[in-house]
Formats: sequence, C-alpha cells, structure tokens
Amino acid sequence: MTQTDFTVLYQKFSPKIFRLCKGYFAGDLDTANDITQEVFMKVWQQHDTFRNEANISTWIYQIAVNSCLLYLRKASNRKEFKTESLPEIPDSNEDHLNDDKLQQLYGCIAKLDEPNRLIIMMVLDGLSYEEIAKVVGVSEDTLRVKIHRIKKNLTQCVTK
Amino acid sequence: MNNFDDIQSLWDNQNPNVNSALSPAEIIAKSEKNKNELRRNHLATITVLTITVIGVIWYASVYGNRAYPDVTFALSLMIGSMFLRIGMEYISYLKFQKINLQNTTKECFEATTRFQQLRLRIQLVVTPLSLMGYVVGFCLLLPYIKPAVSRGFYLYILGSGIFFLIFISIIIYRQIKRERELMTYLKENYAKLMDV
Repeated sequence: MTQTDFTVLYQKFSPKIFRLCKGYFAGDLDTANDITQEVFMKVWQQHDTFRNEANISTWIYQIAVNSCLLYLRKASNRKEFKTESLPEIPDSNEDHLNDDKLQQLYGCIAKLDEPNRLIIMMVLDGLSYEEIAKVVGVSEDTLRVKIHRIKKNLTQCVTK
Repeated sequence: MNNFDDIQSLWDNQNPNVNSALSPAEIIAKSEKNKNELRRNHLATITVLTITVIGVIWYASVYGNRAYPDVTFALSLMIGSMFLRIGMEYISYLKFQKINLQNTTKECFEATTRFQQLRLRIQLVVTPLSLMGYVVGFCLLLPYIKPAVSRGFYLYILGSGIFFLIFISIIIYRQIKRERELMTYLKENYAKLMDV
C-alpha cells in the first residue's frame, strides 16, 4: 500500500469510522477521535496482511469494531461510558430541534448492549447485511433477526 | 420520529464532526514511530531480563558464599520468584499483542476470552506461588540478618516486610477481582452477540 492509497482510504473511511466510534462511545468526540486514529494506524501497520479476496471496507470495519470492543476491556473505560448523562453534542447547525433529536438518538444507542450497539452503527453507516455478517462472524439469517430486534428497540426508545 | 427511516435520515444528515487533528501523512508517521517503539521496547525488555539473569547467576557462582548455602538458596528463591512473575507478565503482554483485530468480532471475543483465562490463571496460581517463594526466601534470610544488624534495624526490616506482604496481597486481591469482572463482562457480551 502506498502513501497515496492510504490517503484515499483514510479520506473515504475515516468519517464513517469516526461516526461509528462516536456512536459506540456515547457521542464522546475525543475517544472517537483517538480510536479512529488508532484504527488507521493499525490499517497502515497491518496492510501487508490484508487478503485481496476480502473487501477492504469489511477489513477496516473489522479492525474498528474490534478496537472499540478492546478499548472497553479496561474497567475504568467501561465505567466512563456507563454514565446516563451524555456529553453535549456541539451545535452543528442552526436546527436545535435536530440537535436535540440527535442527542436523544445517541442516548438510545448508548442504552443498547455493546455488541448490538456496534451492529446498529454499521447499519446506520449503510453497510450491507452481508458485510456486517462478515465483520461480526455470524450468519446473515441470525443477523437479520438481531437487526430487526435492535431497530425495533431503538425506534421505541426514540419515540418515547 | 416514528420509524427507523426517520432515524436513518437524522443520522445521515448530522454534521460529520470529524476532528482532523492528524493528516494521513501524520498518521503514517505516528504509526511507524509506534511500530519502532514497540520493537525497541520488546528488545530492551528481553535484553534487560537476560543480562540480569546472567549477572545474578554469574555473581552467585563466583562470589556466592558457599559457607552459607541457605543464604544462597533464600536469595535465589526471592530473585527467582520475582523473575517468574515478571516473565509471566511479559508473556501475557506478548499474547495480548497477538490478538488479531482483523478477525471477526466473534473470533476476537473468543481470543480475548482465552487471553483473559490466561490472565486469571496467572493471578490465581503464578502470583500467589511467586509471592510465597519470595516470603519463604525472606523468612529463611531473617536468622542471618538478625545478628548482623542492630535490633532497631532488624525490627524495621521485619515491619517493612510484613507491610509489603499486606500491601501486595491487597493489590493481588484487587487485581483478581478486576480480572474476574472483565471475564464476566466478556462472557456476557459474547452471549449477547450470539443470542438470537
């Protein structure tokens, strides 16, 4: 992988990985940023081991999802994100109503179980069920059932 | 928001908020630096451990007091116990580094759980054994220390030894508790991942 290839990959995937991490870490921008950096450092360090028959997007998501899970290995990190009070989402546009809704959505995502949280983040990021099944390592049928249930729970939580 | 499409639309329209603190070139530079640091630290640890072990063995064989084999035995026990624990910690660190993040989440969970089982075994078996070896070595040394130092200093050695034992036991207890909590956390989340 050349530096140019890496730059193209970084520009294409870093916003998605950042968003995945932000959702997983209850909207915490600093942690999301740290983990995104860590993911791309690993992408660069381990690009030799990437098998071309696999999809590059699946490969990057695998590293990202596993990095998020391993980050919560430390008890102190787990406690940090168990808090009920979510960090303020900075005013990204004039529409404060949307900001409120978005904050509520992050709150609802944070209430999901950790594996489910990662799965729904990939759904929201537009990954196909086939790709998510490959990242997670479960069958597509199993995943379909899980996603249906997660979507239902999330919608119920947001509409409360 | 009444259905998942509304959630999806809200998600898609949010500001990306990307914190572009580092450029791709800077990430590559940081990544290379990190890789080299890891390699250097690994080499340094192995070198320090090897030199220390060789040094201790050489010193004991050349200058060891053969008139007091108990002293040599006690010192060997204390040093050996420490090396055993340090060595196990280092093996554990290497095993953790080997967890492949390119695997599926399921496989990564399984590898982390296996690693955690190893950590628990170290904490439950190797750490107490190592501590016991250290304490036995220390106790064997006491009769030789007593006539060589003043009563006050002897009491100080004894007191600080007991304090060290209590302090280290608390740390071990807390460590085992943490490792157990993590094991439960991993098992629960693995079950949730596989649950349909």
